[in-house]
Amino acid sequence: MKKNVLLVEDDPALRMVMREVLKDEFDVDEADNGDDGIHKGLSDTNDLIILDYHLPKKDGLQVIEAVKAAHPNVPVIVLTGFLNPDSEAQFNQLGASKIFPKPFNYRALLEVVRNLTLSASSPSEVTEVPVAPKPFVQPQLAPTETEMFADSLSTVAALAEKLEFLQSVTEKYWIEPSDISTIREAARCMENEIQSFYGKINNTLFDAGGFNSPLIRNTKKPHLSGNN
Amino acid sequence: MQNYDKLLQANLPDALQSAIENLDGAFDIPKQLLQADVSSLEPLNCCVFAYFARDDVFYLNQKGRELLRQKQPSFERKAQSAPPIFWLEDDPNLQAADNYVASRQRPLFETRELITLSWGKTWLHGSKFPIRSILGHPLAIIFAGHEVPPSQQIKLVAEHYQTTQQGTGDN
Repeated sequence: MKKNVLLVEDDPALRMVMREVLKDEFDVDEADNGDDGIHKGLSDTNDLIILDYHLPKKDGLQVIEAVKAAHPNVPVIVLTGFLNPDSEAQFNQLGASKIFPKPFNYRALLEVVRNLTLSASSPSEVTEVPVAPKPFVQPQLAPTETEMFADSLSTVAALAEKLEFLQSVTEKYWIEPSDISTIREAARCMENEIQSFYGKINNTLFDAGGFNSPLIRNTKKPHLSGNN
Repeated sequence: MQNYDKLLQANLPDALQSAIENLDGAFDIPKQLLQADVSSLEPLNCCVFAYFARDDVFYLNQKGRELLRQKQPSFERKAQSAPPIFWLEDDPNLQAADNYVASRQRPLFETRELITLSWGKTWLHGSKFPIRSILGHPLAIIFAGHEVPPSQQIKLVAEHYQTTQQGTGDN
């Protein structure tokens, strides 16, 4: 079962990139201000919290203080653009597991999240939740079509999500230099989604047999009597 | 892109032609092609691969090798652990194009190839050229082309499904 990570960050661009980094291995919940961060942070479902320092409504110090008071064992990673030594000391005193100055390496963040969530759960704490059997649903489409339909929807959803993110970045009054790399990353994420999609869909079509793709039909075929 | 095909032709120019001429009619037996100088094919801005038979691809140029790797955002980029895959699908239509090129010993333009890679299958659009021995016997085939844009591949799959649904579904 995936661990839950709460992401408290007001910058939608950073939230989107981190969601992409984490989503394969973790369930990610999000809050875009300190109030929401505290509200969601008090829930006992979080296995780890990633927290920005500068947040609207309440800052990161207030959030970590409230969260740690309720759940002292939940690891908290702090992200910050600028941090004076006093604040850093405060974060450490309040129990921050790791402080990442921005900009940071996403791979390094993922490694730390993996390590902290692993060490936070000892085997004795892991409890098996009985899973109810899934109801049987009679498929309405052929298996190939069902698979392709599901793949199509999830790809469209993933692309729509990234487009929404790109809009949030590009429609800002100012596009910061740091946004450029985020936009590039988003474009690469989209390329990756699309490549996986058509690679798989071509596979599925071919493996389904009776392959008669328009890509073959519409190709100029060799005519033995013609002038190719 | 409306003029995509014209652009493709513009990108398969003299450099490709002369690179192929260096190989065509230069060797006696297929094995010698394995030692051929392919330096003029390497930098071409199109995917070039050469094969003796559909299950015997023996050369893939630099642009073609880019297809082997799955596009990934930098934070997910990792070393490829599995060996790369690049093979041609065994399809009668695609085989027919090869037979034409080999038997007629003439290039075939605006044709397509379906390539299987580790991340799935993709279509290439381009041309096939025969490579002949000194005596004029067919030795191998060279394909040169570009990956069909993903948007077009997806549109054509959708079109395929629309067509087959109209024939068999409850409309």
